Amino acid sequence: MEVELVNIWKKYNKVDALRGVNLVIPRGQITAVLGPSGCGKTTLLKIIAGLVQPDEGRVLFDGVDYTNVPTEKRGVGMVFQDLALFPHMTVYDNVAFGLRVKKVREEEVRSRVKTVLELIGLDPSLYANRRIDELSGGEQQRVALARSLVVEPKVLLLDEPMAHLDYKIKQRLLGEIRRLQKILGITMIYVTHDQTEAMSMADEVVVMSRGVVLQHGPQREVYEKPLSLDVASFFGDVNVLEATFAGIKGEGVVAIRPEDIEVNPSEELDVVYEGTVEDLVFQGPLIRLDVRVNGNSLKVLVGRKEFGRMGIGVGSRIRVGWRLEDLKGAKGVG
Amino acid sequence: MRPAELPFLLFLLAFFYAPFALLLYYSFTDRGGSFTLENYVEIFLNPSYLNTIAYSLLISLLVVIATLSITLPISLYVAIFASNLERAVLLVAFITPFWIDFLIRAWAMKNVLYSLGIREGFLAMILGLVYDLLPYMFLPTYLALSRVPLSMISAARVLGADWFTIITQVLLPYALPGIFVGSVLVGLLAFAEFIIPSLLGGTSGLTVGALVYTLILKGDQWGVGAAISLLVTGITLLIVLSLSWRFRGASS
Repeated sequence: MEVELVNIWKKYNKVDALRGVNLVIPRGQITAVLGPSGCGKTTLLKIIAGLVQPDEGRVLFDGVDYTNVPTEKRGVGMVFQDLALFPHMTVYDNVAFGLRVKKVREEEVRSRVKTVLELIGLDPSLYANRRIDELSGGEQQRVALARSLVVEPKVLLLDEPMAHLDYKIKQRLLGEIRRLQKILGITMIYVTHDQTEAMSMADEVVVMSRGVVLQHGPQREVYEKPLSLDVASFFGDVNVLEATFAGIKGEGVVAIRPEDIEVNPSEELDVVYEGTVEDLVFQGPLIRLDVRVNGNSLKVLVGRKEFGRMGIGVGSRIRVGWRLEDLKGAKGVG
Repeated sequence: MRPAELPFLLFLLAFFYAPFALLLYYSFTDRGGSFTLENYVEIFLNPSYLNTIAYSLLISLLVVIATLSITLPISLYVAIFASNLERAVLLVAFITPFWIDFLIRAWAMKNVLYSLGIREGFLAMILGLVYDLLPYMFLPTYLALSRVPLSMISAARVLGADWFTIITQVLLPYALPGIFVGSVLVGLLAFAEFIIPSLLGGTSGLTVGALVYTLILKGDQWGVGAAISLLVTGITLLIVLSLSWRFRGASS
């Protein structure tokens, strides 16, 4: 289902949480809403769910105005930050809850709960009668997903559900959510402040700050062509450089991604500087070099194998360079 | 045992275990101080004692049901639906009357009931007990309900539940430990209470508490009085234990 937000405004205690948000979230895709805490992303999600009423603006599902439809009639699914499982019920009763309130026959409830538990990777014969507090964080996460998926929602809203999980479980669950989404073809909106989560699973990315949408587009486009420095630094890492613009009067800042900087380039590049390697940080597949150039420190990422061939270490004099087309913010600034 | 614990232990010994031991002693001795089972035999031979115990149990059950029915909607409203300001005002409004001395409130209640045309008797006694014990039901149920995460209510709403379903299937089961604690407190207090029954109960006021009071302080029958007290303690212990066994799953 396509979700459209038209000019959404919302104030809490006279503070603007959302300031005129316009957004079309495409059907059948995972859209990550990314931004720092307090940027209004959770409020946005609650407005889509109907848990919060906007002061102004409309919420459309497939073109139909749902602004005044109460939460319980919207047919959305939502996974909460604290999961909000019912601690006094078993796994089975938690998952069955949404079907039972819709008066689905108990036979059908049984088969649908079983199917969704299998889909989510929890063996029904082992887990159905477990209590919630007997489950690990990752298992509770799965139950929360199963509970919201079993009712076949038109859109699944996820509000930072992975915040409390450790890295490995998080990565596996994100992969599984993506796999599920591809199987079910359901529209998902995933709110997070963690750009690695957004990168691991999203098709589309919405970057928000202070109640407005800064940029919305396919994940790769937002990464490669950020419209502003804020977007470039929320989604990915950047070096911010002061620059003088030839041909235009004045100064400004531009940014370059650490992996767009080449070390000891063999070919002709637009910009080349000399610098000294100050530090090396081993990041697994990538090595981060901190390079001192004209009193500024530049972060540079190189592949592990490439680094091995370079034969450099702390204190080495190297050349760093990049292409002007890789600079971010060059167009918008000035 | 750490030295710091000694004063507390002494306090318990002096003011709890020593009187309890005295009760035991009196219940198993006659006036001359020699061992006897007479006191217990008398309770079981005299049906009016047993009837009084049963009557008091009935009263405490009624009071529990009444306080629960009154406080649950209030607790629900104050804990879940009220705004912060409303909550503060309601809490103060509910608690303040109970700062006034218990006896004064009981007398005031008597006057209020009189002016409503309700004389001493069963109804007046029940109303007095309910009024007096409301906070003991309100506070635990309110606390339990105020711990419900709002996201849990949101989750139920998103899944399509109406408020009736949310209250009966999510909120009340979640608050069950609080309801249990409140019921035990109110039940025990109503069971043993003797001032309100003697003040407001009239001829219906002969509860177990009043009975023990009369036996010991007026009838000089320390043996039987002690035996009844211990029997009542045993009964309440049994009730509390079996209830906590029944609700063992809900109290986590």
